[in-house]
Amino acid sequence: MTNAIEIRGLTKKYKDFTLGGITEDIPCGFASALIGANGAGKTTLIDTLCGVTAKTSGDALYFGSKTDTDDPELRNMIGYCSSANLFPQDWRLKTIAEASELAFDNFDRERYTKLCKRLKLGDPADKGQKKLYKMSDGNKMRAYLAAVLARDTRLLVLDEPASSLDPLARDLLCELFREYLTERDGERTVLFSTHNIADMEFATDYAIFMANGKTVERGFVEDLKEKYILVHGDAKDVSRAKPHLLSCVSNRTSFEGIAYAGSAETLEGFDCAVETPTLQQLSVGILRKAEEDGEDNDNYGGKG
Amino acid sequence: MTITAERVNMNNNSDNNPTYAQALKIYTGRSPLRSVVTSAGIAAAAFGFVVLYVGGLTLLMGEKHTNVDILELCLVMLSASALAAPRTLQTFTRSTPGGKFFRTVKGGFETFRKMRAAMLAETLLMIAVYYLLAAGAAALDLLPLKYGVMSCAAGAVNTVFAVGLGNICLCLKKGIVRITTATLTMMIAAVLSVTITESFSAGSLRTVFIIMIVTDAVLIPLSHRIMINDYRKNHWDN
Repeated sequence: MTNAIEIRGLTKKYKDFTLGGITEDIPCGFASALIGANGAGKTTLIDTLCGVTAKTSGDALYFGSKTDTDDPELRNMIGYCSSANLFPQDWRLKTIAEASELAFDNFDRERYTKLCKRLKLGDPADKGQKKLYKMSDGNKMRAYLAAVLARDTRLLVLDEPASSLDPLARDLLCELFREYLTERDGERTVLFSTHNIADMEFATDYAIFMANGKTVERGFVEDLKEKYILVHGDAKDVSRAKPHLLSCVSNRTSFEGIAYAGSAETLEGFDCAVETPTLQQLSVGILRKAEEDGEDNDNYGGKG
Repeated sequence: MTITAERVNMNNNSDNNPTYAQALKIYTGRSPLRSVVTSAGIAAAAFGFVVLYVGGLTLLMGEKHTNVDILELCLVMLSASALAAPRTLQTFTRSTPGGKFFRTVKGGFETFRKMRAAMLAETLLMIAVYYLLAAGAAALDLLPLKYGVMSCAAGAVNTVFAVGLGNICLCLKKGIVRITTATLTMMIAAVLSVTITESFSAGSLRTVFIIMIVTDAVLIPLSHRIMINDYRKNHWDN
């Protein structure tokens, strides 16, 4: 398996935040999700990978050979979409198309028009089109997605693309990801960030969990689901089960937590129910554990 | 949706960086022609306002050359400065809308540099249109400026000077400090116009005027360069 990006010790330091020594591989041909709480460093990592923010140290190797985000060829290969205000807010759909045609060699106007219609934004050429600042947050994001998907890129990097979308639009976004990846099977990659994976689970092949500026776990979703188990049981059993749990939440009657799959037999012996977790449940468990561990969690879990 | 061979080939055509006009359009969404027409239109409209205002004032005062010379000149100069300020002081940082997108476009920083140069040209064009109209009106005695066309020439060189100072003000990090300093700078430059125009009548016309033109010729490219280098160091590469 080849990697779209190989990140080695990537660091970005701000006065009040440090994205610390990220070392990860983003597999080529799949949709990878960066999952983490607000302030975990997802946006900083995405911006640094796309050359939007300069890195402090470390390297990233793109498509096996490219390292410079100023390389015109690499710029053309990456489609970047920020979470808000991607374009000046007095622009209309038509302005986005006109500027994008000049800004990128691989922008396809016809495809953009089709995507705008499919995303329920109407025809960009219509005279009644609103300016971005008059659109809802959801429609703004649809416009940004249409613009970035209208380019013939090899890597899509999207910061919180789903957070402002309604459930139907999220579903469509998952569909668009699938189409993007299958159009050129194995050659294209999607990397997106989210703090709520529930609606994007269908579109996620690979997940990277982030907390406090560091990555804390990663792996293909299917592998992670084999590596971890979801455990729940009666409150009376929580004290026996807790040493085997990675993270746990309990109330007066019951508890729920995640554990390594290797502990399944032991936990079942404590009358606990063991299930395969969803990605959402895994996220909650892993991020809760990372939060508890504070900043000394960069080696947690190991490679999945 | 299928990928056409043509579209795949477009990837290879990646070293053709945008022209100055294209860079301006990428950043502002305005076509160069529309930009020039808009600039000229704004300048003409602003000038029309000044003519009406001064005309009305003169009508009220009952005579042409009253004690309103200073006010007239300030009005003329301030209007031009106010026209030049928005373009000169417009910032394109990561936190402003579009700021992140602009960092991913073809040509990268070179496109930003070209856009800035095009925007400067646009500003200078607007100043030229404004003062050419003013000079024409002064020559036809529509605008009762005390020193006529020379007042307009002084206004033009000082507004260009103010644009140069505005470029340097852009290097100030804090937004509020930047805007306050730039506004004050442009106002002072307008008042300076009045002072210089006054000095014309004292016989120092040629010297002052030549000094100002030379200063402008040096300041504009220099301040532009300072601003571009500062932006690269403190915003783009940061």
